[in-house]
Amino acid sequence: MRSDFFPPIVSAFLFLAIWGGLAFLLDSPALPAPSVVFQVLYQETLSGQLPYHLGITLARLLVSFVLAMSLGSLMGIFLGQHEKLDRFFDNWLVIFLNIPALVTIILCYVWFGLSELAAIAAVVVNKLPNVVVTVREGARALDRDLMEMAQAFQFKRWKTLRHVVWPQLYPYLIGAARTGIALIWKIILVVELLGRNNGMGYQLHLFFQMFNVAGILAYTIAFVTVIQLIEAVVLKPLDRHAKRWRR
Amino acid sequence: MTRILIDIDLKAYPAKRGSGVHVAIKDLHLELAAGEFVCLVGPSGCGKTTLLNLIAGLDTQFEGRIQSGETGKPLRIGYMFQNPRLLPWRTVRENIDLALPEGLDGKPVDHLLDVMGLSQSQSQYPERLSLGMSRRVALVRAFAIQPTLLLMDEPFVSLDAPTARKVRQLLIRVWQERPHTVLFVTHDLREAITLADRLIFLSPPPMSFLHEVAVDIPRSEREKETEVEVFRNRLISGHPEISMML
Repeated sequence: MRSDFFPPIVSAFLFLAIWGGLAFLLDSPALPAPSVVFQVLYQETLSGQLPYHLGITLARLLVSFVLAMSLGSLMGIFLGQHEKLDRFFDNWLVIFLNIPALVTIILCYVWFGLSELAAIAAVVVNKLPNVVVTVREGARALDRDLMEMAQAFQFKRWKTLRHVVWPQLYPYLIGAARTGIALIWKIILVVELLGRNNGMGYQLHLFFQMFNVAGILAYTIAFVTVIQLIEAVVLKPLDRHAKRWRR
Repeated sequence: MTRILIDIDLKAYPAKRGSGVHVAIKDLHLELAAGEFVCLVGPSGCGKTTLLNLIAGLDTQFEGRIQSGETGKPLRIGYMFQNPRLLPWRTVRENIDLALPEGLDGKPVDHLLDVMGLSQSQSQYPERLSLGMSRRVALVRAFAIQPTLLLMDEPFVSLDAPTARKVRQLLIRVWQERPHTVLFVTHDLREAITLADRLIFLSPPPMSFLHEVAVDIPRSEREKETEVEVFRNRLISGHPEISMML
């Protein structure tokens, strides 16, 4: 198959056509036609419901993302530089990496109550070990030759950080950020479903109880679009910027 | 311009599992005259790089001192490593400018780049340069900070012969424009004779002073391979222990 015969637009239309065809054949409320879903999407947007819940979820996403990234980076850099501590805490990391997301979420709600704090904490704890492991890898791989060069030419602390250390960590941070977004936005819906009374997860739960499949699909489309936009507009350009000097 | 005194009483690496204490340098005392070009010659692995790292202040775990003879002021040291060690995410020009101490005039950089034939490559990233070009950039960087002492650690190893000769000529040219003390490490005797005012031979570890020879070939004759060859043969026949070592 030659790919230039199937540009993205064609493939998107094919997807919609198959969906529409199936919906028409099945003729069941379990699979509403695309037109119905987009109508719901439009109405929910007009009524302000969708922007409200989407906004809440994105705000939670932003807060927990920033927290997980900054805490995780600090811990990762620290562990990457201190071999003994790293060996000591390595088991802890393995444990935290392997605790299922659902367990952390339930425990957070049990320990901290059904609060905003518990929700954010649950997401952060889920994401944190990933960031630590990725950034630690970067901090371990810091080029000794370049550090010596900086020392020999008497770079000041800030100059060394900015021009020698930061560019080496940057690809790892971007990597952690990209996988981070992908992980967090999936977890955050479960967190909201289990213990919040607003946000995308809460809405989806409501639609589920009312067997409103069109609503579920409409919200999904909105959410996926926003996440893809963040990826394309923010993270990908940052990634490209980080690689500009490579051959 | 001052002379430079290097006194290393002892440099040892602590014992690790599977090996005892490794004494790298013992009782090494060198005096470098102002503006002198000195080549340190010794077998591979004899601790020459260790010595340069001590002088550059990269390693402070040793007994002894390194100081400039008259003033006692800290030296401004340019270091050209065995590999170029350029920051790959900064352009050629940025690499050089970053190394300049604050308040230092950056004007000579343009001239140095010009002499080295790098003016066109200023805005390139180092990964796009050949090894020979990267070495020249590292050379410019070491010269640009206008050092009182320039350390060079086998900087031309793994360059092909014509490229190495060309970069050596450039080195002598910029050094003659602004003479300062150079400590050049090599295990290539011909290279040492071509470059140096004085050769210092070092023993295998624990490294110490073995022998020294002033090179009396006029600078204008250094490009003639026969002159270098004659000097080398005379040196080796006079000091068989040197040929054993290299």
